[in-house]
Amino acid sequence: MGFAGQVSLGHAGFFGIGAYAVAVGPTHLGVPSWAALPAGAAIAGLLAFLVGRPILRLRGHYLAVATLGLGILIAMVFTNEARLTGGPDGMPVPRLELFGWRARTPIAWYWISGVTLIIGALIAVNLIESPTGRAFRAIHDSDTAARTLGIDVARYKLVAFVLSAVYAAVAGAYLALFDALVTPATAGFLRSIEFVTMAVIGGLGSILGGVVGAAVLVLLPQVLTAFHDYEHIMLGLLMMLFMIFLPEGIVPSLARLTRRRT
Amino acid sequence: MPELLQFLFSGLTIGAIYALVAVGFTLIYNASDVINFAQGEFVMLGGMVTFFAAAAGVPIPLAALLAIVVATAVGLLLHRLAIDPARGASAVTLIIITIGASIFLRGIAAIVSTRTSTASRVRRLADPGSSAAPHAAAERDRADRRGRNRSRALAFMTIDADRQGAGRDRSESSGGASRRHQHCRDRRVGVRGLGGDRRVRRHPDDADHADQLRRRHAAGAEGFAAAMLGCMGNPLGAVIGGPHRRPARSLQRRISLVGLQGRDRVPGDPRRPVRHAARSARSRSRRAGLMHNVLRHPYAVVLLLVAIVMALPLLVPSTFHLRIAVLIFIFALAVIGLNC
Repeated sequence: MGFAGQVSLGHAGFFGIGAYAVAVGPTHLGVPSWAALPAGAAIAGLLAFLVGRPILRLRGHYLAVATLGLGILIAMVFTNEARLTGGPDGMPVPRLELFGWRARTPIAWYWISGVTLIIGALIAVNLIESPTGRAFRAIHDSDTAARTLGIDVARYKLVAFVLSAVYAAVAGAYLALFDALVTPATAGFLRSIEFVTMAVIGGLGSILGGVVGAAVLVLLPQVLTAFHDYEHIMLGLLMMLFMIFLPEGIVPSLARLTRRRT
Repeated sequence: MPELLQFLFSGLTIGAIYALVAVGFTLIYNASDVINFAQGEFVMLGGMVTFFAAAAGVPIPLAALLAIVVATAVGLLLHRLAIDPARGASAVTLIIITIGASIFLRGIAAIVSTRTSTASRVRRLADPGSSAAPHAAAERDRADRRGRNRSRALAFMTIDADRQGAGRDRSESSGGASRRHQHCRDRRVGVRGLGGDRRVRRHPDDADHADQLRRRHAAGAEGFAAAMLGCMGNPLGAVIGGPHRRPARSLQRRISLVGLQGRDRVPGDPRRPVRHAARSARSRSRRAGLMHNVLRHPYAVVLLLVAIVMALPLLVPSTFHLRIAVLIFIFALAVIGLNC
């Protein structure tokens, strides 16, 4: 969204595919969790590739609604295919096992998810600095201008869509493995909105912004429990204040402030 | 046939209400290029003010008028205090501001409704004539706990709402798997952060409240979808989109009821005419509002053909809801294609 400028409101669908892959694979297909995880990411990437080409021809809000429809459809499949997915109640997720070691403690998951986040961020940073990343930014600024520069706009939009779907699927798989439970709400519409909000609050067009946005939106409700019944009023108020006073997002706005002072 | 008409007219009635919501979306979009995610909360505000004013003895027409005044005042305040200061920001920033506003308004509504319902329940129990008076203190504690639980469940974040079991079907909240895996959820830091409330058995009022919440969100989402289906940039498109969505949905529900539950109860085979009517309702609307676009957008024609080809294997009996979902998605894609 920040680099290629494509707004997706259905990313929770890919997140759900990753989560259900590590649940359905070991439970029904006998695939170990460590193999189900990349398989889920591959399925999400393949679906994004198949659906992306027609969807990404749409622009602006129409693209958002088309991706929203895709996300809702995926969530409906998870809800209705009860024999495989456990229906609205969801299903348990077997623990991740690697060479006889079972990842079950929060500390273990802290290291696994932390290291994966760093690797994911490094890949994203490298991608942004590559010719593909420059093509993304050109498309973000103007489709027409990018096309005149000889950039295959449809192809690069598709690359961005597939890559972000794979990221979402891996994140979904990790959440399901950590929780040991997955429900269709994992792929719900509000989850997609939550992801978009994280990206915007942290700062679009900044890798660190996504991390900061996620941290703020996960930590803030916990901190605001001190306000008891008023916590949601405070959360809404803080979101509005962030966007009014830091309209570019937390990280880019703070970076600009720091640059000005130096 | 009378049943079909009943579904059609009730669908049109609700569709007209959604069309009003959609016109609101369109107005804001045309004026500022912003999709107002707090639109559903304004629907909720109108409903709540009308309800509380009517409960306080104000005649219904006056209560409705008061609701309009209050919603207008809140809208003005929102614009003056939140949207106006962010003038010049990107559209997506403004959208996030409206999401913040929606959480803010929901939080206020939660407090107001929780306090009102708790107070009325305690008043009822404290009534000396009531047989439940001896248990008033215990019930008050339970009511307070439920109130806290509900207002927390109003959180925007699905994580919180799910963990608190709000807004979910009864089958979800009381299902065996949910109980079995409750401990998995409670282990999460988030639950501990929220005070570690374990999910309590839901009071019927809680279920009603959750249903109301769902409808509230549904009104906003339906209005948004109606506006997008009709045409976001055109108020007339929004008006077409609202009634178009609702009768089709109403009839789809009827189809699914007949198809999955009541097939034996209805004499003959009612699925055929109802399904036929749903199809013709969709096609009529498509012809009326958007047909001229078909000629101008060859890509949309291709999309429609793809939709038809993709729909053919769906005629083979399989999960009924899934087929409906796929059809709705393909149809939505086709209509969006027509609009672009």
